Amino acid sequence: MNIAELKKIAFSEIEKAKNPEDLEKARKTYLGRKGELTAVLRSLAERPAEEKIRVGKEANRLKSELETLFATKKIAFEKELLAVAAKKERIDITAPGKKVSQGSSHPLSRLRKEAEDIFGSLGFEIIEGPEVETEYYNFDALNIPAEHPAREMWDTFWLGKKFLMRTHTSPVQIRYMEKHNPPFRIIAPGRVFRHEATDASHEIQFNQLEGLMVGKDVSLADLKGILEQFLRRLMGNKIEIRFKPSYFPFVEPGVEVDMLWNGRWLEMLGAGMVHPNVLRAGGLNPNEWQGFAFGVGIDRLAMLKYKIDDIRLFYSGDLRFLRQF
Amino acid sequence: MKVSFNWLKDYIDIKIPLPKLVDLLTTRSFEVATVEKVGSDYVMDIEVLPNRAHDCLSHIGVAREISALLETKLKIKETKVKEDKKSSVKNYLAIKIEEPELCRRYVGRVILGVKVGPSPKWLKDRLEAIGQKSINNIVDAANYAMFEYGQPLHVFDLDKIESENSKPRISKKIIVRKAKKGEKIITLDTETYDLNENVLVIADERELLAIAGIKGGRKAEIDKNTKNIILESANFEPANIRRTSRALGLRTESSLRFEHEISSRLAEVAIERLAELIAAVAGGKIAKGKIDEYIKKPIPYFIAIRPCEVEKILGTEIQEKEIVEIFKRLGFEAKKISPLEIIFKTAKGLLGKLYKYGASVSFDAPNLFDCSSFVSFCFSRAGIQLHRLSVEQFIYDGVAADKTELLPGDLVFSKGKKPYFYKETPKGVGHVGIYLGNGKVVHASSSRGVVIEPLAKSLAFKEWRGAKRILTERNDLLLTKIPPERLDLRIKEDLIEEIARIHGYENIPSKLPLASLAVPKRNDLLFWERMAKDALSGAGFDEIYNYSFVGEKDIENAGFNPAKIASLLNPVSDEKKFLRPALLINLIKNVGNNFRFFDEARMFEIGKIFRKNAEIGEKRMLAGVIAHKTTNRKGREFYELKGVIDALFDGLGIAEHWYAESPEYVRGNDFEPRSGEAPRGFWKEGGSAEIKVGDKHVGYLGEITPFVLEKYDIKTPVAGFEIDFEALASLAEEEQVYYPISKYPAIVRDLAILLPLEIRVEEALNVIENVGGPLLQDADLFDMYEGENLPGGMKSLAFRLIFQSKERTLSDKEVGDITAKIINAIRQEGWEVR
Repeated sequence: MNIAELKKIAFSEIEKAKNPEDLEKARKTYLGRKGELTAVLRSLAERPAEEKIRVGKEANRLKSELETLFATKKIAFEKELLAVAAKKERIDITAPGKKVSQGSSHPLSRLRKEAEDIFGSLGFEIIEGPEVETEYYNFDALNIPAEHPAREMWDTFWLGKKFLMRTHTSPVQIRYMEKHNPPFRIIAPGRVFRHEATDASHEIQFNQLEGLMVGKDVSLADLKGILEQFLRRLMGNKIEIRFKPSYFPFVEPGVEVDMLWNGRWLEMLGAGMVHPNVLRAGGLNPNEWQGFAFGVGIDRLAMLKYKIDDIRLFYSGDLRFLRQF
Repeated sequence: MKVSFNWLKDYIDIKIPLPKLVDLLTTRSFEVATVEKVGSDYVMDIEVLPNRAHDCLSHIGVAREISALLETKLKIKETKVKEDKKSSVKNYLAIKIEEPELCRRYVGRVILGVKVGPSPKWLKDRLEAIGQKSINNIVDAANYAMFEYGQPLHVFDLDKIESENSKPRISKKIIVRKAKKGEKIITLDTETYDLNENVLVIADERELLAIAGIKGGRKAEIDKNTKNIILESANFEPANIRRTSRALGLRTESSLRFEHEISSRLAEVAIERLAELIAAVAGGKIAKGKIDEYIKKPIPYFIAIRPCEVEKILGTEIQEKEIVEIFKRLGFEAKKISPLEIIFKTAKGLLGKLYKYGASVSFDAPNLFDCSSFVSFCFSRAGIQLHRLSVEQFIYDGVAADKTELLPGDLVFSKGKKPYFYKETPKGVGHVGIYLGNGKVVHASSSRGVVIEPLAKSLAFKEWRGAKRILTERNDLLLTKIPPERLDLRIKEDLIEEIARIHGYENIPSKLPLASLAVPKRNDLLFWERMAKDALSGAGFDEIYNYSFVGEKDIENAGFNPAKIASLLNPVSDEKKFLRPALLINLIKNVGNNFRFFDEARMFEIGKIFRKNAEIGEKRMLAGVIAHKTTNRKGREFYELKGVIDALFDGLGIAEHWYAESPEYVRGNDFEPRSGEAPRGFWKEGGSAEIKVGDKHVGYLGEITPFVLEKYDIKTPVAGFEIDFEALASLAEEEQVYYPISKYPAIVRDLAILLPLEIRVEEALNVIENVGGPLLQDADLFDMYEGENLPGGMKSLAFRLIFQSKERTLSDKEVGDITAKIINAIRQEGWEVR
């Protein structure tokens, strides 16, 4: 049988194959170990040189043609099978996925973690302080003596003559300075308490994040830079910040930091250069050291970031709220 | 404070539109909360910062601030008082101040023959625009002058003031004294106040006329028949006014200004304005002269500053020229000086002044000094603020200098007669002087007053303690004279703030600090807290933030003794009166609340709890609960929670934890729920365990007794745990060690044991593991059954035993032999293998 005839027969047999088994049988008939084309190729060695080249060329071309044809036909059969299976075993992709039991992380924890990570990447160490404080650390050491009218800026829960629930995280500044030598940069996140009437934007407890950086020449311009970095990374690159004059006894100059958010300036935090009296209370010489401090409300940031309109939700323990996070 | 735009324009030309002004005020001075149109006027509500209440709670104060912002001159009309030459104030009024510490100045004037009536329209309009009610022309004038200058003023009806003897006398005496215990006053609004010895009052010789600086009394009230009046313009000590105002619950425009302290200079300016105003709106003749008891006249205040110090704090260069310009705009006189020259000139000018221990720099100087007030005063003339006490100067001011290398202007210290022993000065420091150079010192000697003498020969400096150099840089300073009303400006940082805000904070470019590239030290507690939170939320627990407070009911429900729990002196409500002694209390409440919307709750919280022992202690705890609205299997919640704790401890690298079923759970430590203190337990007996690591107690796990749950309307079991998180974190281990996987196959055998109900799983495991030997890799409980098909009082435990060797493949026979040994041991216990 010459190559041309072989080709004709083989093509028609492949054409006739009705299923993968027929196809495989046909493949074996021509390309298998004992297949007809295989036999031709094997016999080449015994042929005269001129014929060897001619027949060899034709046989090899046919081999490659057949291989392509088999492969194409095979894929066609598989596709048919898949189509049948797709009908039979069809998955309704609109049905709900199976619930994985994963708990929610509190929005304030999420925000705090983000904030801590940003400051961590800027080299700030995280420090915590007690929630029950002494009058000394909460007020006196922060340049707010007993008779100072500024004490009224903080409505205080008192526990006794000298003890109170801390009204801000600033006492951590003093506690840290007492035990560490500059230069340093720390943040102090934590829960604080205010004796006030509650409404959608006021709670008797909330979370603050205090920052303190002290060095030889840490300046107000540095404060602006650090806060810009922080707020941009947390709230998005589009925001802008501005400083406004303000008054907190433990900083001088003291500023309030506004953030431009959806076209409006919002008061975000209080900050300033650490007051010399505060440095002194922490055991540092103000002629030698200077630095900035700031305090930002975590709850407020979380409310903006997650569009929460009532601060009280954070402390409600209401799973309808919490499971959204 | 409400500020009328029209009123402001009396004092300053404002050429920019109002919104621009509002913006400028907000970014340079104070927030403008609202702007309201009132008739033809605009009224701004300005939130004057607490430190500017000294000088800005007035229209002139705000105008002065605006003049600095706009670089526009103020145009305040000079007050002209036309006195009646024929009558002299001295014939009508005498003032006696019995409390010089509390009343620093009292100025009085008399006007005769006024006609009380309604105020003219302009006056009414102005007052009403800023929300003040018009009363009559006299009272309105006093209010007007207060809102104009910031000086509270008062007017008495002269004829209603009584004298000691009942005979009417033309000359009246006003006394500033403390109230007597039990004294009462009826104020202008007909309220009665009981006073005590802490309250400063204005009185005549018989009765009270006013609560000083806070509110007038009815007795000498202006009425329609009033003819002759006394004007009061005084300056009271702020802290006392504040205390009284709070104690009486009486806050007025007057007390607001006095408690923030105002300049005593104002008293005179304002009374002149008031006299002028009254004459204009109510007629009358102003008696000649005024009584001015000026007890504490402050000396001018100076602050020195160097431009380089401004740059160092602000982080941007501001030229000296601009600084001087800013000061000029703010009305500060500034000039370049050599500090040393001023200090020496001042010191030498005071030679021979007398010594008074504890003399005040503000009020006794420049007539009386002690050693440190002398030094402070001399430096203060050069704008350099030192501490008040010699020992503080020694510790805090300047840098140490060597005795052999003293420079003129250095402070020199000795033990002195009354040394202070601070922790920095164990040998005592009590005397100070200024080194003049050439071996000479100037100081205030307790016996000789201010003297100059050779340091080496001075007896006062015999017990040498050291020297401090204040003038570390010898170059010139910018000496700034602070206007008397700017009581907020006391240190150079205050001036730097003035420079920054007038320069504009937006003009200070932001930059990033130069600091060492140090990796911050990890906060271990927070690190483990995050790990624990992740582990628990991975196990399906929702994180809760509860209040740090609970109510008395909650305390009792949970079985605590309220007397031992820290509580607030001023709670907002009874429900939030106590500091939570356990996290679980609020978590149980959360279960009850959430059962209204959910069938199941798994929640946890990490937070502080509080206990009152000698002091109030606090501790970080980790607590969690599991509850199902409908539950069927005994101990389901408990076992779930136990599994969670196992996983949590595993995650924290704590391997050696175990559960003690012991009556010790009633013992607790200072920080955990103790049921022993209450008639009923908090933890369910026979359903709770102590969690231990080694022999260390770390917390409790268990079902909560139904008696607690029913208080919160929970009818199904709730299992909870509360763990001392600080202890847990200290035990946590981050390092993981890899154990090589055995190359040889494991052989598994299951074993079901029938044993009495009261035998615990751990006891059965012990029996198995005791005889299992090293080839028994693991024995896991995979089923526990108590039920109908078993003989009474019995339960079935099914264990999966895994045998494996690291060295070889185990044969069936080997495993069979060990299993037989185990079965044998079980039978010896009297249990049955099924």
